[in-house]
Amino acid sequence: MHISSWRASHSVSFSRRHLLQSCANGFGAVAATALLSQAASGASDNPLRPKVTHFPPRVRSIIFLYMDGGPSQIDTFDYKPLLEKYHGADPRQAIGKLEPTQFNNVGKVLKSPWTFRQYGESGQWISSLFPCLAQHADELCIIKSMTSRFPEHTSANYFLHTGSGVQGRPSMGAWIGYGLGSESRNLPGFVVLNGGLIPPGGLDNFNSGFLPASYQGSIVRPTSVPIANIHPSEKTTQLQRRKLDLLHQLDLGSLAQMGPVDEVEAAIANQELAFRMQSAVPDLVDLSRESLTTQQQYGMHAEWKGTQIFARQCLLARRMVEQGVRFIELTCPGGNGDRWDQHSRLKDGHEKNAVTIDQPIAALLSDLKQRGLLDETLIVWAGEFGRTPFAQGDDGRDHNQFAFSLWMAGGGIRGGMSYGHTDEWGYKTIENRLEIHDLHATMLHLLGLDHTRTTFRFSSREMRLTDVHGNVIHDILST
Amino acid sequence: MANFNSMPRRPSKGIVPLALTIFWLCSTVRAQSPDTVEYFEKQIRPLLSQHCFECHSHKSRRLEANLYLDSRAGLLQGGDSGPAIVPGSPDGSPLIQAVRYEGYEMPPRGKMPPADIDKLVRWVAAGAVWPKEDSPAPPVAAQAFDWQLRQQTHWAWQPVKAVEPPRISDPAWSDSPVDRFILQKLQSQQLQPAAPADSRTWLRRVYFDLIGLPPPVDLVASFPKQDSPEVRRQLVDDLLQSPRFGEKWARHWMDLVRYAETHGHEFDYPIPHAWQYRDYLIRAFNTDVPYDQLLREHIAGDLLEHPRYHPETGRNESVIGTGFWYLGEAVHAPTNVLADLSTRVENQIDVFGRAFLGLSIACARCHDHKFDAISKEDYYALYGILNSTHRTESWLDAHHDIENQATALQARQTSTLQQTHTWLAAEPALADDTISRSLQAACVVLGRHPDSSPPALEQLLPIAQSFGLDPQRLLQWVQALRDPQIASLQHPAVLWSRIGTVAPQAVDARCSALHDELLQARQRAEQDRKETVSLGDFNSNQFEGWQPQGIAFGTGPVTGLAWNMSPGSDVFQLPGIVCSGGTSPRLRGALRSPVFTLTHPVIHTRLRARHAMLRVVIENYYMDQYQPLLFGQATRKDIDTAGKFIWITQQGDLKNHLGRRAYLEVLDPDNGEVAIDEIVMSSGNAPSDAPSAAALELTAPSRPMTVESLAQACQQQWIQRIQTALRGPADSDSIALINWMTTHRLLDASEQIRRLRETLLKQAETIPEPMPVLSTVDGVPVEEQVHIRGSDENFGETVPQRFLLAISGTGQAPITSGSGRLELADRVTQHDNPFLSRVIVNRIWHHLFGRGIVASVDDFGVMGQLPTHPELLDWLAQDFLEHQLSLKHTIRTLVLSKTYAQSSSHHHAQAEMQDPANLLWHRMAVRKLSAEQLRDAILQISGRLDLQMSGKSVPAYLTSFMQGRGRPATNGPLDGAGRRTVYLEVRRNFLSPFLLTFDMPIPFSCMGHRATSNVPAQALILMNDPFILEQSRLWAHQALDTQHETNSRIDHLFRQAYARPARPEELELIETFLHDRPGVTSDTDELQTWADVCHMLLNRKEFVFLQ
Repeated sequence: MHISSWRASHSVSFSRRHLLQSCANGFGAVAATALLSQAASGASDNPLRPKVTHFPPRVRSIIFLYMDGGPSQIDTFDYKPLLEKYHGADPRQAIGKLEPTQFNNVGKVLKSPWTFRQYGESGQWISSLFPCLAQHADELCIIKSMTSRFPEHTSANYFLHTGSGVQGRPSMGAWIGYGLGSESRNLPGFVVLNGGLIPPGGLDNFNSGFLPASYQGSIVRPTSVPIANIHPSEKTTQLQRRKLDLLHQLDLGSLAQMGPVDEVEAAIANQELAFRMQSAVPDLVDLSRESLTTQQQYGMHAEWKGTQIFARQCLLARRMVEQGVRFIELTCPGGNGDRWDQHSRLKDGHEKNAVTIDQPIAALLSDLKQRGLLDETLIVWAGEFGRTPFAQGDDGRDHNQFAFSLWMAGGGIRGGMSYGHTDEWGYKTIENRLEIHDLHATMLHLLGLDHTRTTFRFSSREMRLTDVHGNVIHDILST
Repeated sequence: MANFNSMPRRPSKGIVPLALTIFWLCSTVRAQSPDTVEYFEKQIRPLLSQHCFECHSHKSRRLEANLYLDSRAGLLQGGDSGPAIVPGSPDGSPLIQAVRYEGYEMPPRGKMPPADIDKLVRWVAAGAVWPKEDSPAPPVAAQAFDWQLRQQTHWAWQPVKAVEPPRISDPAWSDSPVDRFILQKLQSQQLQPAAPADSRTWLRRVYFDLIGLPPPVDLVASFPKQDSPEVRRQLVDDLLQSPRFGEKWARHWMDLVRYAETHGHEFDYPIPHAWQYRDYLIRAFNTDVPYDQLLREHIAGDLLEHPRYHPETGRNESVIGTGFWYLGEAVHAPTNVLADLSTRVENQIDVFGRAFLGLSIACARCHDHKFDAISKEDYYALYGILNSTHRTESWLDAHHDIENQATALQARQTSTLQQTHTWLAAEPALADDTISRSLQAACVVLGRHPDSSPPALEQLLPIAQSFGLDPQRLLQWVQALRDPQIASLQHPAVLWSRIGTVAPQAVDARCSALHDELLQARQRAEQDRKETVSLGDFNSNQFEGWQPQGIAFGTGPVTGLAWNMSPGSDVFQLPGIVCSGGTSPRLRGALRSPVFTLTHPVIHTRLRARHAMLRVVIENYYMDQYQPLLFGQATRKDIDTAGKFIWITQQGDLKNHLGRRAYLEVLDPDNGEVAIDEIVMSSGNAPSDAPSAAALELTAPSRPMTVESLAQACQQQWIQRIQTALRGPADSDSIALINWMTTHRLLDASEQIRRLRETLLKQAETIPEPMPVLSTVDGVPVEEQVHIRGSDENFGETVPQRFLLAISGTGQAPITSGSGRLELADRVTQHDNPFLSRVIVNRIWHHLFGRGIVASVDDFGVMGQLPTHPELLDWLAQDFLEHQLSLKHTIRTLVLSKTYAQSSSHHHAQAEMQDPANLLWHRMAVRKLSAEQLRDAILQISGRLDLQMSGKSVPAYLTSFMQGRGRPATNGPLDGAGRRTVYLEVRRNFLSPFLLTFDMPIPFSCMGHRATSNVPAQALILMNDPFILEQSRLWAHQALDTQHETNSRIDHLFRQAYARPARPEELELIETFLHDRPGVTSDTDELQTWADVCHMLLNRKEFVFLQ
């Protein structure tokens, strides 16, 4: 039985007034704002519908390709020929003063083991790590002047995800859910497609912090149990339905006793949404109905295990965009030796990580484009920091928060350009230095949100994803 | 005496980088000189106008930060954070820091191009020339932060008033003052309170509110019949006395102090003994420790003159409270440890301020509070207190058993030492020429038996006889001279290791060679000391500014004859050391140096140790214990030196922390000991040890050097030195001699002394084990400087430790010793501190009614919410103070009120319209069960609840979705072993999804008000989570076993879950469900069917909500 039908048949008054009231007071509120769809509550005066943006949005969804561990900018997108000339030199003499690194095991200047070429009409430089992605050079806006404030993973991860280096703050996906509400009927607004690795700092990278729990990221795995507790415990749907019908009737009895208590009504509505999610989510992750060609394009049948996993994640991301999920973060698959954190054996580690993501991401871009979705979707590819142009030990690179590269593509973004510069070593930014706050401000901007007005009162302050910082990077936005 | 620097201050900012200076010099050649007006007009004024004037000029629509940048006077006068420029010093000018985006980030919309920044730098460096002109208007002095004005104009700072409860027209409703306040407001709005809830609704409410569990079925049956005010009073008293009460209410407090048992961050390292703090809270709430005492214990429980002792275990309870300071997140590898410290302290101050005072003090980290009467000086005064406080383990002693036994042992040591003195004073060898004869005879023996095997007694007999000695004793002398220990230049008998076996004619040469060697060694030792900084040598009878914790280190360094209680080592301690094992290896202790500036990259410690630890604690940083990344060798764990003194070196990453403040920590955390001789800080190797002064004296080249003359000189010197040592302070040579002579049984008393020591060592082994807990300990006070704009590079004036001016005033007595925590505890708990009582009674109201009288329970400041019933709040606060700050008293008062007893039904349309948010309490609130209440209730009704109290937490149950670094290798039980939720482990990075989904807070800061969310994930858990299914089945099993008839079974289930019987229509619904299940034949099927019923009863909203 659909919730609206039993409600009609029992003619219980469903006032939402108190709920609104309590929202204004910062209480309970939550009320599934981010999760409940218009359809779930049915009523035309539903306060849980997607919220009004500050200005017209350029995109509806964001796919955040999180490159856990910190890919090396000078081996991917920031081409530095000088490294070849000084390969093997003492970096203190060649580069000059070096900042302390995490391990402080400074080796020689280390050239990139990969070759760079220019691609597309734009002639963007991309390394041989990404042969497939390079075909999309004209769609990418490569930012070469991103910086972090933290040279170690956990704080840098929190910073990238929450705009703060300490634990317990709301993740960007939670802020977006809070700012926009959800368009998805049966799915959470903030989904983490977990390929296997959970970044240092743990699940708090995806938490709602002081925002209500409804904005927390839902961990979805591209496996048979994609979401915790999603499989019905009953042997048949019919049996479960019968049990839930009993429950509904009991609950309606309580409601008649209590009067129209909004929190209780919302909990009853959630029961129905949860029931629908049980079939909607497994349907969503069932990729068998995608054509073989699509599966192959993404790399689901690739030789490398990591590619297969990431292919599923990318294909799922597209399906979630279609369903209106606001923020989809992809984490890296395991099995590559390590995340992009090559303190040693740079060549081996980066190659495995690159082959894992290259084909799936390229396919995702093509697929979205072909379906007309790329214009309403923002793709962000980023790690938490970059790596040093000199070796750690013999063949690794240490963390470098002073410069790293990321790219964006999709709606509102000028493709085929790069923004910002590092010095001739790719060590530090020298032009258009950016911070994570600027990235966040730009992401919110493209979704139609002013980052300075997307606030939540906590600890006596109007809290923001961007704290008191952040500027929209207007130079990279298409007109 | 240790050479500590005077109070270290933060290093000031560096000078202009060289490259920049050169750039500036070059560029000035081609541009106008930056010290000209022309340069200003062409290069600078346009920049200021373009980037700054919008917010910082007389034309600004809204002036920011009280800062004018449109006149030189304005720049020099500055704004909220001081002058904007220091002419001639770009790096010292906040304006330049701001445009460089160092700390401030101006202009806010984007950084200026580097070339423009360089222009400003050059202009300031050249003196910030500005043409003579009239200021657009005389710069108005920045409006000073006026805490008194703010204090006077906000309600929460005002004293708690003695309020008379209002007279009401309808006293029949209730005579409780609480109700009179509520009724008066209701009536002023022409509203009436709701009808009383029925007995069973009240019963379920008060059970969940007081002990967090549903009422027992038999009481559900009997209570309505017996219900009366007297019965209710008795019931409430019983619940308040229940041990379950503390388990419920301690958890509320745990939300305030961000309780967790791991540190989170990357590897989620453990917080040792955190669970002890949880048990401490449960005991404190159960015994209704007065609230001011509870706060005193949290702030300074380690310093109280009269700590509270557990009545049964006899352990100090107070000290456990201080552990809360360290329950926060912690970082394992901060590259900037000072920035990390600032973040840690901010969290501590935030928790302290909001939990105990309802004030957001931490907002004043970067600037005076934007709204409240809290200055940045207030913040750094507290920062100084916390930074003079150290994290430690305290070792709790049951019934003073350890202390008493240690005292008894010390008394025994004193009396046995007296005995030893007597023996030694009467020792024949110390009164005649035995030593001289023995040495000569032994040399003869050694000359004949140069190999190391002991000669036979008969071989010795003639020599012994010729020197008038006992052959057995002579053999011992021979062995004593062969002791490799005396080959060391530090040993007073070193001479005999060099001349024992040589021909008589070589003695003189050997002796003067040794003398040269000793001289060189002395010079080397002196030279080495000049190149190092001493951090402690303990050659006085004082700790030299070091602070001992616990009783292990005794009262000071060893000075005279003292037992060495380290088994396998010397008999007596060397003087000039501090030792944690002087009484017993079983005593725990710590010794901490004063704070010093780390000026050299290497620290050397000469020590003897077993199971001991050395730490350099840099900026109060403690995570290196788990993960020494970036702090390699700051900590040396489990040091064992096999009974010898050796140098232990700490260096490694210390070089990266030069200029930082640090202290040294010498720890004996186990059954072992540590004895410290000397600690130095250097740039290289350990200094060499000074040679034996006695040996140096003996080998002085003024005498004829023969075995005989040397033996006589030795005898004279040794006897004289030993007798001096027996009379007063000893030098290390004399103790070394006594040790050597006793060990080799060269004295008549040797064997007796050895036996005495054996009995002492045995007794030392009987001292009981202490119980370790996490706590604070005081360091030497370090006043903190204001961090300008919260920066960790830019410091302002020094602020002495104190409490908030707006609470404790300007007349606070200065803190002269210790961290100031004790004074802080006193000032916070002054009864005239209005926040002390108001904040806590409001929290109690919040927990019982679902919303505080001040809804923002953690914020009583200007940005918080106003009290809905200010007079009631003050009446409750005053009443609380008058009742010994008893939490139980206030809880009892509230749950026995008519206001609390109202129905929560939403059926009164008029009232709902007039007071939709129920601000007037026209009815009771419908509340959702907390995560803990929900889980505990399920366990109770299923029969699985195990009411075992206290102890280590039940390991976290990890679902397959809980992945990441630091994931425990072994999983905890799905049902948490049936224990109450408060006993489940709280791992920061692996918080229970079940509890989180039902709004248990993420423990990062004070959280007095939990969100109450309502998400499909909650429904999914209740529908499909294996824990729920397992419990439903258990519950059904029980019901099938005990209730044999369908209707009574259903009724029983309802009484358990909802504290009421089933209504007829409900019975019918369930019967229909039961009958309409074709194919149910076997018992198993029946169990499953009933499990399905139970499952839905748990899912029912009436179960999850409290009416």
